[in-house]
Amino acid sequence: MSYKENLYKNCIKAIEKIYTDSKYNSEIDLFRSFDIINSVNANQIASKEHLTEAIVPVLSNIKKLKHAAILGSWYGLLGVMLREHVSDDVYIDNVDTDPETKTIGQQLFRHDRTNFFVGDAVDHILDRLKNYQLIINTSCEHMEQEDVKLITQAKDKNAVICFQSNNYFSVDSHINCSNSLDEFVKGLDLIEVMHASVLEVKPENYERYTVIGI
Amino acid sequence: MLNIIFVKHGDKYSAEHVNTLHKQLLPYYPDAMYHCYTESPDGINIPVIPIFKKPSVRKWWNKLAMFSADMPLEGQCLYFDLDMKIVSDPRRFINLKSFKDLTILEAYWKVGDPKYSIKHAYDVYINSSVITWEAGEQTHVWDHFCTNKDYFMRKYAGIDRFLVHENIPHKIFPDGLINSVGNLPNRTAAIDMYNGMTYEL
Repeated sequence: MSYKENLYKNCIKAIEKIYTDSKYNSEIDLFRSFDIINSVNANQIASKEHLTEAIVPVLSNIKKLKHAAILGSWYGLLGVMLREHVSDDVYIDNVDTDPETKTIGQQLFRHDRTNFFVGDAVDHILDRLKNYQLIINTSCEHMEQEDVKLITQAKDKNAVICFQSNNYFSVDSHINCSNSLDEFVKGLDLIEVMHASVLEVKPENYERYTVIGI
Repeated sequence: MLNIIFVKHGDKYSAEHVNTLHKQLLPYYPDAMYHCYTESPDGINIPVIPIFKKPSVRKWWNKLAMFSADMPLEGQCLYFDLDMKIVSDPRRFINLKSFKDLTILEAYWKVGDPKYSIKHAYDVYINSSVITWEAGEQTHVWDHFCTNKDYFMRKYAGIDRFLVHENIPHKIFPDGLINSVGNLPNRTAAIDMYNGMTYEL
């Protein structure tokens, strides 16, 4: 079974559990089922595959990759994809402020060195500045720009960052969209840009920006 | 001390909406302190409270920031949406003795329609176009929102649904304070409310 088939199978099981639990507990959050479905929809898969394809050629340049952080990881979709391309001894740490991302993330994918942390992304990185050789943030549009820059500037100088944002201004929680790839790249203020690309997202008609650098 | 607060974020409403509503309320609340919580103070004739830089939220979600412990308000707080026209004295319906509780409007046009009580649609029978509370007494509203704001903004279409489905205790204003212009039947009330419609001055 491919990782994708396994992931979808586990999503279905997680949704089944939510429904079954809801029959005996009126407090069960049914919206979670919908949220799980959205977290692995076609746009999410395309966006994370786009990032993975961009980062894979760079992985061999990362000296002694031991720890990778994925900020704003949701239920861990990107971590599942990344796991296909890194050795089993690499730790992948998913970080999200939503406590349920850990519970559900662990239902969707289990690996000894894939972890889920609940907390603020900036606090997590600042507490572990030297730990990570690779820092991925697929949610820059959800974070204040000062926090995005704090991460790029506080990290270990050799750590590679792989950040995504978009120009999807109409979503309520998108507080820090960029108008263009160029604007996103400038805002990151990197020493070296290894990759910068745009993915057109239909039918919502917005652009997703992916930047990799130091 | 009575504070009257407006929230203006983005460009759906203008400074003129703020100033007009202020003028309409002055005859009834001449001694209140008026405030506008906004990121764009140009043209606004009342004192402005700058929108929080962090955490940053957009649109109507900024209304929840009024409950934050960092909001510089003391005493009784009375909030109005900007799409409201004061037709007559609203004071009959706003009891200055009951600001201890969070008090909100009932969306009377929804009452009796069962589609608004379908559980997983997360719809509600309240409307937060007018709110009263005591400054500092509802900080749990903002604090709770900040624990998982991105998830709440995905789950709920607006703050009314957040308040009800996150079990924030609240009371309801007496009937007659508002007439929702876009919903039948039209009624005589102290305030005409243009929710869901374009409100041009």
